[in-house]
Parts: sequence; C-alpha cells; structure tokens
Amino acid sequence: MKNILWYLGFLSLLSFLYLQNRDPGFLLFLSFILFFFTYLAKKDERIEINIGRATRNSFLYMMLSSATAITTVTLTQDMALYQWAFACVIAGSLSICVLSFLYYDITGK
Amino acid sequence: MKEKIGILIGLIVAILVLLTLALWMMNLGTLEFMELGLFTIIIFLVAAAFYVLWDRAKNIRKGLPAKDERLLSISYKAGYYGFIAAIWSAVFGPLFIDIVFGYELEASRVTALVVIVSGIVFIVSYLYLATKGKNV
Repeated sequence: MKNILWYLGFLSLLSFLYLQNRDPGFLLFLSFILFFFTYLAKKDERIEINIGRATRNSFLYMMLSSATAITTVTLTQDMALYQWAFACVIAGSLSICVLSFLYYDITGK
Repeated sequence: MKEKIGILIGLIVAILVLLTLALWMMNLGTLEFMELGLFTIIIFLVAAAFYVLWDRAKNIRKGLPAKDERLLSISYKAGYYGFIAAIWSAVFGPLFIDIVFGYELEASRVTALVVIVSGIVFIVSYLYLATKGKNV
C-alpha cells in the first residue's frame, strides 16, 4: 500500500494563517505536522495493515459522526451546532486514527 | 455470529443514512438541481453499501466466512483512501468551491461534502480493488 498519509503533514502549513489574523484556532493545524513522521516509517507489512485498520476506523467514525451531526441539527434546527459538530468530526477522526494505530501497534493485534 | 452482527450493524447504518436523507430532503422544501445531484450520489452510495452487505450475507448462507483475508485488506485500503479524501475535502473543499463557483459553503454543506466525497472515494476504491483483484 503506497504511503500517502504523510501528505497530510502539509496541512500544518495552514497554521501560518495565524500570523495574518491572530486567530489561535489556526495553530491547531500544527498537529498535522506529526503526519510527516509516517514518511520515515519502515515499509513493513504489519505497519501497513495497522495504518489501514486505523484509517478505516477513523473513516467509519467520520461517517457516523457526520450523519449524527446532520440529523441532530436538522431535528433541533440549531445551525450554530454545526461548527462544533464539524470540529468534533475532524478532531475526533484524527484522534481515532492515531489512538487506533497505537493500540494495534502496542497490543500486536 | 460476529459476522452476522456486523452485517446487521451495516444494515442499521444504511437505513439510518436513508432516514437522514429523507429528513434532509423534507427540510429542503423545493428540490434544486444541486440537491437532486446530491440525492443521486447518496442513493448510489447506499445502493453500493447494500450490494456489499448482500455479498457478505450470501457468503454466510453458503457457510463461508463473510470476508476473507483479501476482502479485509481491500476494506482497509479503501478505508485508508476514504479517510485521506475526507480530510482533504474538509479543508480544501470549501476553498475550491469558493474559488471556482464564488460560493461560500455553509457548515452544513461542508459536512455533507465530507460525507459524500469520502463515501464516493471509499466505495469506488473498494469496488475497483474487489473487481480488479488488486490486493495490499
């Protein structure tokens, strides 16, 4: 499986937008810098499968949480909830990706 | 038993997606061309999900495992591409639409965009890898 995960590291460049409008929210994009380290990962079949599992879990979370967000906002008619829901979807999916990978790597499953 | 539960969960999720779609459509009132396009894409995604579930249920009925090792690795790979597509579409989708169409996407539409783009990437790569016999 070709490693295209490290390209996500380039999203960390968006943190430079902080210099333009001083919004500390943009500094959160610095967390993407960690994805550059996956470029250095050894081409090991076990690691590739673990990356595949971790990203699949993250993808499933993203689908379910997005569907839940759309349903909740539609039912409550509170559009302000969307910005929080969107942040939860993105931040949650990144966390699940990293935590799942660590879990599979540490437990050896 | 575990595989049957997996198929059941998949069915529930697919039905929930259909219900979400119905709620969303009812909320829209009038159907425009863009909404009709989105509706078609989501129906395609749900149909593809039902096909995958039907294929797995067929394997179980024959006494085979629902997913063999090849299908597992294909689902990991498709999930991997779906995840990458979701992140990129969440960040650059609104920017792209703003530049090309001059239209600022609302948060609700960005969420819908992420679901649709990553769903399409997942299902297309899954079906492509499964039919072409490509593996990890």
